[in-house]
Amino acid sequence: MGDYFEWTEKLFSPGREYEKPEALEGIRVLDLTMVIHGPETASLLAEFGAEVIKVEPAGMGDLIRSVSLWARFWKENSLGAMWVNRNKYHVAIDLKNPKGRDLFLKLAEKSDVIVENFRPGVMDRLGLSYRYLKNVKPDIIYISLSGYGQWGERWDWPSFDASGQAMSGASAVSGYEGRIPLRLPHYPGDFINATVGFMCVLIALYYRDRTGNGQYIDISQVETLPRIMDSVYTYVGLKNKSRPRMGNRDPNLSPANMYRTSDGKLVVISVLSQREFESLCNAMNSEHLLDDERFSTTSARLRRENSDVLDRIVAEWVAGRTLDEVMDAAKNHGFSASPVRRSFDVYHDEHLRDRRSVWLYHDPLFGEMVSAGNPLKMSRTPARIKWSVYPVGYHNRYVFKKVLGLRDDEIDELLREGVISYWADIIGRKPPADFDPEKDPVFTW
Amino acid sequence: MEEWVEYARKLTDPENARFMDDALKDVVVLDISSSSPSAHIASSILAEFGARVIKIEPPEGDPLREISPFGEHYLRNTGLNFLVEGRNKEYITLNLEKEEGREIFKKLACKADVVIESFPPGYADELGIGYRQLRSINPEIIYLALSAHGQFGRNAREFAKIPDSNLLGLANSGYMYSCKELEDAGEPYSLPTAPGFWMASYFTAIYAVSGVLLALIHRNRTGVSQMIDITSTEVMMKITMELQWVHFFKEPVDVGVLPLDAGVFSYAYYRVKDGYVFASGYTDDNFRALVTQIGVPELMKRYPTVFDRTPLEKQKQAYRDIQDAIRNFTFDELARRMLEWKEKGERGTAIYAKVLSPEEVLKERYWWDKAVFRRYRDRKYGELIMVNSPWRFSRTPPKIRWICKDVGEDNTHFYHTALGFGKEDLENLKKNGII
Repeated sequence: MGDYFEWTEKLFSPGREYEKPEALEGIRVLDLTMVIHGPETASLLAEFGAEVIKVEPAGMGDLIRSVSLWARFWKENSLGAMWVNRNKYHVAIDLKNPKGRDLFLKLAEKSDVIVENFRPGVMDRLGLSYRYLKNVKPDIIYISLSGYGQWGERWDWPSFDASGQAMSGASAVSGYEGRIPLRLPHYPGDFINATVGFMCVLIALYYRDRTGNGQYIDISQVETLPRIMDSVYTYVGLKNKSRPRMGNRDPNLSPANMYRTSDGKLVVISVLSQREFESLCNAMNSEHLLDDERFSTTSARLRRENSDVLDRIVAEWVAGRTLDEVMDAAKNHGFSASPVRRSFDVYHDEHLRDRRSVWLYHDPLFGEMVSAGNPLKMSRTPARIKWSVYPVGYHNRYVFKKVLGLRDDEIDELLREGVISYWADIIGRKPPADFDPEKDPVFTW
Repeated sequence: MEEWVEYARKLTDPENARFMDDALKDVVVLDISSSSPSAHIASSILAEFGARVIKIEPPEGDPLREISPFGEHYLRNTGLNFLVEGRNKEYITLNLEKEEGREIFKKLACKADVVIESFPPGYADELGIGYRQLRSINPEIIYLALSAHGQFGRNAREFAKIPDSNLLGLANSGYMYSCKELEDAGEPYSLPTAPGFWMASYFTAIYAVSGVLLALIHRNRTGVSQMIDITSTEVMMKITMELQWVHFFKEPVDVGVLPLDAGVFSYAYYRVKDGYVFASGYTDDNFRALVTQIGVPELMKRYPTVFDRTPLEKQKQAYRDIQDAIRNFTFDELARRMLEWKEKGERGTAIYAKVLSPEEVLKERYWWDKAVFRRYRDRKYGELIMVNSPWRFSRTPPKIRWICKDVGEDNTHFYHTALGFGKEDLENLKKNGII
């Protein structure tokens, strides 16, 4: 058999994603979500080939279109909106208008999945909740994402990613004792639960393929956080005491911390098994530590007093070496280590570009673009990025003609009545100034 | 018609979960991962949704069993981190370092749907049990491999021996760099800081399960299997939204500005009389609600628009001003003012949330009512609090059937039913160090 890495290169054949099939081809998704928690769920489905139709409110569309990092927009578009609306078709329907509701129901009849993140009860008042939709499409998979779920005493509480972090204990275990708890950046409560939503839809699709049955899924941003907090709650339950905060020290591993190298760089090192500890000791030329009863078993290494000593030993070793020397040792001996990098370095990482994790591509609207490629590298059905966000209502004609078979005069009538609409002439909603939609056959379909 | 809240509860009531169907009941998973939190979590989630997961450990057990917070709690020789993700799996041992063990594994792989491994890339292949060997004996097998730097790409070979870890994924992706306080906080607070729980490992597991499902869906439609390659670095990159910034503006982005936020203000934690609260109000109306409720309406004049309060230097001052005012309140006082504001029908909403420790969270009835937490009185492990998967499905909810098991606990039953091994066969295997 040939070399393993030459074989994997052929098996995954990066750069040839478009020649391969898409796992979710033929699955149609209606996306009624805003901001991040929700849009990201539908976006992940779209990366794997689902046809996602994003239904936005007239004119202003999704609220995230107003928000950008440090209020800097690119070609008058929100960086946030670009990040979580990959490969979607954008229509704008007024769901409060009975004709708009009918239009939506017609789309639903031809769809497989509905994703929504309105406040609980809103879709029900519109007559568009699961109890109505299952009559229109009995095998529909319908997922609601919200702060605290659809029922229980907090169903109507407003929720942000950060309030969820506060309420779930996720912040309180992060940072340093006596210091303000960490509000974990980049909205992990939104992104991680959005990915849980993606996972749940796939589970439901698998079940539907097997049995023909659709179902309703209710997931909560705040409730997912304790589930991903490793053994914190079980530990606190046994101990009746909260786990102390230790910065970068991981109470489950020893050693595990961030250290500073002789050339002033930051590096993380962590050791799980005794075998990994042997590798580290070999690298440090400190095999005698393996016979030291404070470190000769994993459970001994973990004890607070022993772990403190070991942490200092590793810190001292790292302080005498450059980052390159530490990383060479990790590569040769096999223990877990990484430089602490900025996104700037990540962007320029050629290995990650090979793997399409830093995915450079040509966007039909924005030109040369970058996106984080999907972390699931699948040899047969890889994900792909086709485009980032489009303006509000951009695909009205394309969708209503292709999916519902509406005629031009019917579409014009719906436009006149305000049932469907296009973007407002406001930053974040409209096409870039150097792009003329009238020349795009998709827009004028 | 009945209220939506009531209807929704009946649809997905966790009290009924155990009577309901399993989404993945026809799926057989062989988990041969070792020392890998994300692999162990992934197979735990698959098992909660009904997959039959066989956890195959070396005869001495998965080293993951040996860790536990501060080395304090071991229940039947198993640390808490392994224990809480041991859900519903069957536990057998098999020595894959030996030829005889690998032959047995291949027989099992012939009848399985999914294999999960976490070896250094290339190692399973060297042993003759990698994807290219397994697919020749079972063309429908789905093969999930977790590693630090992946199975392909220019550095894959060079970095193959480095094990993946939670800290590695956080640091290598750029995530950790954005998790730090402003410069003037001083070290260590102004240095990159990892979240205090295994965010990268859990997030990786959620993606890994999704990958298995995508492959299963594709296989059931086309009969074609595949290999899935996943790293925690690339998982974390999916949420650090900064690549675009670097690409467009050709410069690093200013991140790591806690307690401030790069997008909006106020969206921050503050110290109050009885701890810390999150206080938010960043649109004009909501900001007015916030500053009025904390007794400093004049701040609305000082910071009238988002452009007067969002940019970094302005936001630093605005944060100090809010902090000075809000420190005189307790959380309950703030919550009361928020309600009064709402009752008076004033415009805008300020949101407050108390920063709760896990100990405080456990005292709230809410989580127990919703069965997020449940106290198990387990015959083997005693009384334990477990966090259920709080993902509510109307037909196929996740369930915990059993918490965990000992190393090799299912050997006799499993090998007998799967391969017809009798008592003598097992004794021989044991003598040869295979199980």
